[in-house]
Amino acid sequence: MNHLKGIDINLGYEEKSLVSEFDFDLRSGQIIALLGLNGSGKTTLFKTLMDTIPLLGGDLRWNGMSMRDFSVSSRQKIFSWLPARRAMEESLKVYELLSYSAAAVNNEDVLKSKRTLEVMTKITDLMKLHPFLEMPYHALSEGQKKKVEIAAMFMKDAPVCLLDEPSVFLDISNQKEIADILRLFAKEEGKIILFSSHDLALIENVAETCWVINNSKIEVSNNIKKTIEEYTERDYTEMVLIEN
Amino acid sequence: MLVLFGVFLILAYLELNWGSSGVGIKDLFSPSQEYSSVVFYEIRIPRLLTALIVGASLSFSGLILQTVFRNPLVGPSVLGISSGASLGVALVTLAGYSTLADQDSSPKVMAALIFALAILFLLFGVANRFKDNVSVLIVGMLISYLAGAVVDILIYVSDNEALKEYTLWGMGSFARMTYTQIIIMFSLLIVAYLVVYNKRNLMNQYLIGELQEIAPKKKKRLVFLLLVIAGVITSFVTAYCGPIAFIGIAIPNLLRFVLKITNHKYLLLGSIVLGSVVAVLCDLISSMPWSTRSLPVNAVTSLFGIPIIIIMVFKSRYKGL
Repeated sequence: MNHLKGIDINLGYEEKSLVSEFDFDLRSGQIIALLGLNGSGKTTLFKTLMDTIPLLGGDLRWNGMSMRDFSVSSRQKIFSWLPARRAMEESLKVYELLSYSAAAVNNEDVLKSKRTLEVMTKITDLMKLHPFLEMPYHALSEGQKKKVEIAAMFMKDAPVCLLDEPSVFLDISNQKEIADILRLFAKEEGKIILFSSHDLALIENVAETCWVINNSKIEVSNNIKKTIEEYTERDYTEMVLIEN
Repeated sequence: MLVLFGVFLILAYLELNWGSSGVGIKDLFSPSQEYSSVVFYEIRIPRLLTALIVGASLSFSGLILQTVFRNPLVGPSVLGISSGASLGVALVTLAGYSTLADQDSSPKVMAALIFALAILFLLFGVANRFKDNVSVLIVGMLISYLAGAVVDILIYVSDNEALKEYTLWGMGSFARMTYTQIIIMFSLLIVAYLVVYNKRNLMNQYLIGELQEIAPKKKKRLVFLLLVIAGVITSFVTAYCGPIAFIGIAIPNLLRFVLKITNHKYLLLGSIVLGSVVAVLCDLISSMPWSTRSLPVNAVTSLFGIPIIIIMVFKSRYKGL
């Protein structure tokens, strides 16, 4: 059972704090959706967890230990990350991307370990990636690329998965597939999954808890449906008010 | 691999057997063997070893740099190292401190080495202030032009004799290294290979953007290490043998094209093996065994390397950049 806890955390940039005084407590198997307008701090929250942006205040604890003293490598092993846009060598074949991603956490020579092969088979089956494995990444459509990147994220067998807008570019059947795979990895593999999205259907479909970033605070809610309704109404009203 | 090894054995035999003196391997065992053994141990064996090590080193650095800059058209010459070495040699030869008659090549080698390393570290000094690798590349090229300008001035004011010597150095040769230098270069290459091989997984993670996204500090350390290694190796090779053209760009491309893989576990060793075999082949052609004259190595490596690069540009897996 893994356990990620934030105590009174403060995040943003030196000149501009985005979120302040946020406490949270996440355990294996939880799926959290992160909502907020553009620029409200969703990606910044992810990057702060991974320590690519320094934490402005408060403390993060991994299984009870303060993450302040963690090395770059041990942090890298805790999180796997799906950026909105990945800067990668696009000539790589899909199976190469998947296997290098797997090697990021166990640091073995790729595809040697039995566990890696098992996960690879499982993910390619679930996401129906077999036809693409030998194809170079650049030859895929935007939706296929996204799918492959999500697969690569899960190939890196880290306990916490952070996904920045996983459903962008995906058609309806693929969106459903992603929803299924997120639920499955949370339930069977005990991953902690935190994803940001503007896709309200996906959020309603998979998330158990919702974090809404609003005015530098994060509101936590377990009633997804109600939260989404309030969120859309409020933001819509705000936008109308601003426009007038 | 076995095929390559077979090819290598044949090439090595030919390289040792043929030369402008007309001595062959069988002469080693003939009664008048003194002359032949001098030719062998003083000329042909060092030359074979030099070609092997230089080819391996350049193609190894080329591979590393192509990974760091994620660009298949980058080679060891881009960091300004060749120009640095050229400037050093130009200063020594064109200012008249070393002449064609000099048997001792050490002033040239020292000057080339000092200037190549100086430019390398100047570049790193600047590079640390930049966030992205492309800036390093651009500054490297600009430094090359600066060094080139100084060389041009030196050429303009120098006499014919000195000019000829400088030009000859610039054409590259595998016939300049002593056994000591070969041993230094060989140990350097072994150490470099072991260090970089140890980072093979990180290099793969660099290709997929994992390091850049999630561990930027690790990425910075890796890039710095790789640049230093590629830079130092290239500096030594260029100082000893002159700027050898296109091996460093062409071989890693050829290797990726033939093997159809990107995994550094295999590419690193592959670049060394293929680089050394091709360098021996080029040297063999340049020595023109059918005649008593020989061609400059650079002409042969260019004739060999440039068509490969052109084909790769069209067919490469590197379509992303």
